[in-house]
Amino acid sequence: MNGRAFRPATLAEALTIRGGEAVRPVAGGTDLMVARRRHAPAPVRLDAPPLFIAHLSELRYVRLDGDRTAVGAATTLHDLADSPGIDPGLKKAIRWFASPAIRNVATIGGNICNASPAADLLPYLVAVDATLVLQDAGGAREVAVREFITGPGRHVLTDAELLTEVRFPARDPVPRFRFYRKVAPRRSNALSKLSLYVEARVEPNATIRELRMAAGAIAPTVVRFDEAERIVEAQSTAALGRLAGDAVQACMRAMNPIDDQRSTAAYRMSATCRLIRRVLEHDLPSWRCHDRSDHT
Amino acid sequence: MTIEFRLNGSQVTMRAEPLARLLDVLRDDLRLTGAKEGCGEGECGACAVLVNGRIVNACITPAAAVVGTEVTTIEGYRGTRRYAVIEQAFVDTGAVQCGFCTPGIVMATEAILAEHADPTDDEIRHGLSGNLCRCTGYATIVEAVALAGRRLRER
Ligand SMILES: Cc1cc2nc3c(=O)[nH]c(=O)nc-3n(C[C@H](O)[C@H](O)[C@H](O)COP(=O)(O)OP(=O)(O)OC[C@H]3O[C@@H](n4cnc5c(N)ncnc54)[C@H](O)[C@@H]3O)c2cc1C
Ligand code: FES
Ligand code: FES
Repeated sequence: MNGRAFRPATLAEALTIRGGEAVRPVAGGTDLMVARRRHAPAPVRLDAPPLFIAHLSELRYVRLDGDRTAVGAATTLHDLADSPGIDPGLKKAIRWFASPAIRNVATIGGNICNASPAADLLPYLVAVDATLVLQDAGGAREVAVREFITGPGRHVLTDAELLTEVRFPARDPVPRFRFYRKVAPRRSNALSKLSLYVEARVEPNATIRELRMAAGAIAPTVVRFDEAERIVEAQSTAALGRLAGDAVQACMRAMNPIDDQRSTAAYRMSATCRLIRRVLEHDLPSWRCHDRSDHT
Repeated sequence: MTIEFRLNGSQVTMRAEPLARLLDVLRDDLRLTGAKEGCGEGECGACAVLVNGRIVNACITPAAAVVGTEVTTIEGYRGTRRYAVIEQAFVDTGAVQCGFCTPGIVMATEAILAEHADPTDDEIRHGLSGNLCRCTGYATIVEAVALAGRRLRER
């Protein structure tokens, strides 16, 4: 046996190890075990000894904290989808995530720290202004998910820190329009060519409030469409036919897609624009708050 | 490192590389070859086993992750009465051709029927969504899961 490895009993112990030497946190391992695989049956080789954290119950919880939901970083997607307090918008994104076998082990923290522009949870988390608790042996800091991710696979976590908690708004009792769509070669176990999350409240007089839109895989990081949100905010759904063109133009300015093995920049741009236009011109204006589809 | 876990009802204590794939530990070290390697990347479900009753792909599970858990492979599961019902349903609907995907699909079937005694077509398809089969075209497998569910409810 040559590989050193750490399987701490507590979070405090994990943070001490993390602060003491170079280690690679391993949560569900669904990204790491694929990215770092060698020819079977050679064990996966990481850039530093693994620090296993998925078994720590201190990192696996869903807590309702007034109007916020606080989720332990090592909570699996299965457990998240199973929790009653989780917003239906996030559940929609989880429905599109991989397959049951992956969701049983993949964690929310792993999805965030992997920082893929195609990560399925990020459009939701960016749209609702989720914040992250980063902890080291000496204390904790809280950063917005938008500030956390700086590029593909890059984030502001120091070598001594772990992501310990993800915070976002609790399930809102007021019905909301919620939309998540992922364009991928097949329904399961596929990474996105592009993805789009949109949510909004529609008042009884048809005024649109709190429109939030974010998209994945169309730029080096998940993009929030702030400018388009401002164009539509406080307008009537009846005006969407007229405003959609400007909103889509604003979204285009925020996109910076690339060609890669999954898709092309041109396809990503045009498909995302068509999807946004469809949501604004059709899905959102035709949505009624008694529509139950956002509870699936 | 030393890993301890329960495997098909028996306690196992062994040495393994912490990042060894559970699939290799099962097939090479423990000689349980029921779980198969298809893709080796978590996409096909041929290597599926149950960890604490939940379906997991053994090809991307590090050995260290099963410490303290209960692992069930097709070899252990086939001794159960539920297995006998599922096997007969697969035979009766013609849901097995070459059989390479079958151990994983049987484990997925158990996971589906444990969660939904009377699954809808959508729940069955969702539950099988991580399993690829290059032979059957899936329709007979969906039928087999529904049939097994019906027979388990009637017992
Ligand atoms: C077959 C297959 C299908 C997939 N489908 C999808 C999909 O549909 N959508 C999608 O978004 N992703 C998908 N993925 C990717 C992957 O499953 C997810 O990104 C998952 O959420 C990663 O979580 P994990 O716990 O397994 O991460 P790990 O592999 O354990 O870790 C990922 C990275 O994050 C770091 N890390 C993890 N937790 C922490 C922490 N608490 N603090 C600091 N660093 C940490 C690790 O060091 C590593 O760099 C798929 C993967 C596979 C194999
Ligand atoms: S071999 Fe494990 S999922 Fe394909
Ligand atoms: S029966 Fe041959 S792969 Fe499924």
